[in-house]
Amino acid sequence: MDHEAIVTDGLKKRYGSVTAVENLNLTVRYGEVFGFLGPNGAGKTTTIKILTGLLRPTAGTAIVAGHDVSKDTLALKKSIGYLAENPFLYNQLTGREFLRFCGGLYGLDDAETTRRSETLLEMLDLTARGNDLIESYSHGMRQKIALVITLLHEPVVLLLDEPIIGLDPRSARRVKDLLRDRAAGGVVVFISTHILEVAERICDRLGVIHQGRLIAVGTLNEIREQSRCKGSTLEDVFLALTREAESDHISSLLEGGAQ
Amino acid sequence: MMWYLWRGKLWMARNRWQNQPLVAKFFTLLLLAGVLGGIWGGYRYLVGRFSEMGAALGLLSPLVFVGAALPFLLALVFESRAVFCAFYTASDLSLLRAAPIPPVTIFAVKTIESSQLVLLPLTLGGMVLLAYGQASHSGWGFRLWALGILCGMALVTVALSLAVVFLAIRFFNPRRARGFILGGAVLISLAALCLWLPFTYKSSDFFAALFRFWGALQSHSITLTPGAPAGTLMAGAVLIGLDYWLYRRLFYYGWARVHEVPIQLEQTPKHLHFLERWSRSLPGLPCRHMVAKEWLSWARSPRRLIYLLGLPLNGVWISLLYFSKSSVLAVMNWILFVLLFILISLAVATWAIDLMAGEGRNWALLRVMPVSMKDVLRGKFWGLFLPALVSVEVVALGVSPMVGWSWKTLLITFLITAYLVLSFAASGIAVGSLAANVRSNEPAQAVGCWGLPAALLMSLLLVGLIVLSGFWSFDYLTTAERLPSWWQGLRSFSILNWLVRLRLWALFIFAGAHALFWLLVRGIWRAGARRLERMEVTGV
Repeated sequence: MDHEAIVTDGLKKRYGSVTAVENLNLTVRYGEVFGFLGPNGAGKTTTIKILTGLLRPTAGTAIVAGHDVSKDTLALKKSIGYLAENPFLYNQLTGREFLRFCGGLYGLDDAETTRRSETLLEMLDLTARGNDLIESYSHGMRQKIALVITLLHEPVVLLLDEPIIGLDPRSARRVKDLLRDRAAGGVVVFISTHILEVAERICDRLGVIHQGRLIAVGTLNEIREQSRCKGSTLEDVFLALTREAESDHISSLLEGGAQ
Repeated sequence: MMWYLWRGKLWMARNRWQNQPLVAKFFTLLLLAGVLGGIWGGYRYLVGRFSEMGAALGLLSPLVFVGAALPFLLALVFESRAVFCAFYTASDLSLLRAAPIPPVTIFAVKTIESSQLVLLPLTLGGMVLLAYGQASHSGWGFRLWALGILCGMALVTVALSLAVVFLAIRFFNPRRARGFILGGAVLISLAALCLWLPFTYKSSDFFAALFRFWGALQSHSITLTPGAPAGTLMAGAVLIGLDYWLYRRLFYYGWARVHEVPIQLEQTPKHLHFLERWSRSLPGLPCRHMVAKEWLSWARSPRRLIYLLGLPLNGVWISLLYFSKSSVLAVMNWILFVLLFILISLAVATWAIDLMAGEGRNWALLRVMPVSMKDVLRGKFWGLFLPALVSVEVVALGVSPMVGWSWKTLLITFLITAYLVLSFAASGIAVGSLAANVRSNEPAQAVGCWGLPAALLMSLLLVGLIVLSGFWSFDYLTTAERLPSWWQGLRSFSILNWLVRLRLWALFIFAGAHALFWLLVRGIWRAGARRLERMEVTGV
């Protein structure tokens, strides 16, 4: 039980009459890189936002790093690092000022923040631009500085919404290595992504969500078996799974219409 | 933790200042000096006026206190809007809410952030009360007493706004709650109008009613009991405490509701497409698609709809001002007339800047399209000018038969208001084009911090010019016997006296000043279009 970093039980989220996440049961262990895949609007971001405590679940429970996301929010936030799909950055601060600002929010003193951030800035090729205003940063640089903030307080759970989007190949490779390295150190990395190559390359286990429902979960081989696509690429598996779920959905609609 | 949050804001302010061009820095300093000078000048003026009253000053005391308290009522409405923005829609909330910041810290920071608006009534009230204290030779005890009362009222204003917003978001649909909060300003204005209307038209004894009210206040003597400021401050503190209690219980639920992605996106009401069709059929209008986009935005955005509703109310006020035959009321009307010009200038200049700021990074998109920036600015201008003009003139037309205007009065009203809206829209769009920030997706940051003050300053200069023209026209066209007695008092101001003595030559002064204003607008407009055409879109 102690090895379980994220546990959701019957997690459900409704927006009015629309269900974004339906009965999500998921367990992710420490030291694991978990890839959360799904088409646009499948419920990936909603799930991550529930896990960070930013959205409240309509039903069910979610325990992250031993904290109930609906109750123990302050302790939860100290344990997690969250990278939003479109992270908010103060454009009028320089990269280093923003890192010091965020370090303060996470309870780090300036010396410690500087020490940690210089290491991370160097890893992500940002050292030379650290004193420039964030408003002058490219999309990739903004993504990298947001990632540095996510890692700054050394959280035990990383919840990353599309972390590789907008990065050049060298930076993408470094980020992937960095995440694998963190996982080797016992951190759980929960990645929501559309980039199947990333999922195939660095994830230990995968979950596929479609129309709010978790339709497959396991290692790549296990998912291949579930989708009856042995030996296929993850792209083929993903398309087969989502197509299958789509046709099931259409059949149920047709049956409903016939009745 | 508080320090870390404020430190970031201080760094941002410093960086923003350092990265401003020298001209903008000069303009900001000039504006700051103007505001401080205005406060000092107003204070000195009030001290002078109060001192002239001598023994009668004591009679005035209740009214002074009521006058100092009233702006807080108005601030309450706008404060609610500020609270809503700071607590529910500010973009830094996603960062703050994800960080391990104790709820009390977020509450404190956002409360302070949203309470900047009460600084205005605090300054105005302080100015009036301190001037009263100075004129009545009251000691420091009075000043501390007045400060305590005002701070208490400011606290109560903020606390009530917080409570209204937390409860509204919790119990209403967030979209409706937002409209409800924004519409508060309009409702209060309407209520004020309903109160004002009987005083001006249904009965002729406005001042008799005022004196009765005054008398009623006199029967309640105002003494400097230390309990009064202590009580007000205590009430404010208790209310803030209650707000925190509400915040802990209601905020999370409300915030999540506001931020939940509405999956069922609202369908565009079909009846709105007529706006698009109209704009396409407009002959010869440059950048008609931009006009269509702006008009659809007016119709779809609750915030902009509130803007449109606000102007008609101002139109009603303006039309009411023409009425009174009483010389005493005429003084009031002249004062209100000036105030309403200022109101319209504030409204239209703010909308214009808002229209330019709203584009943010979209300027980059417009830059790569085969459309000239001059056409984009023209589109923005027509997108603002026509709805604003229609909203004012429709109300003027509606009020006209009710109050029995002659066609001449109606025509003059039409012309003056049209000229005002035209001028403010043109100068606002021109200044906005120079101040637009092409890198920001934040509407509040999407124009330089000097943009709005500069637009307002230009509008107010024009208001001043029009008021002077009005004074001179009335003086020139009215025979000396028919001029009211208080008119001579106005003539004692050197600039007014100088204009009167110029006789018909003053017309050249006015024409020259208007020409200068339009040349300035034209220059800024061209410079703005050139800037948008040539800007280097970096960091997008």
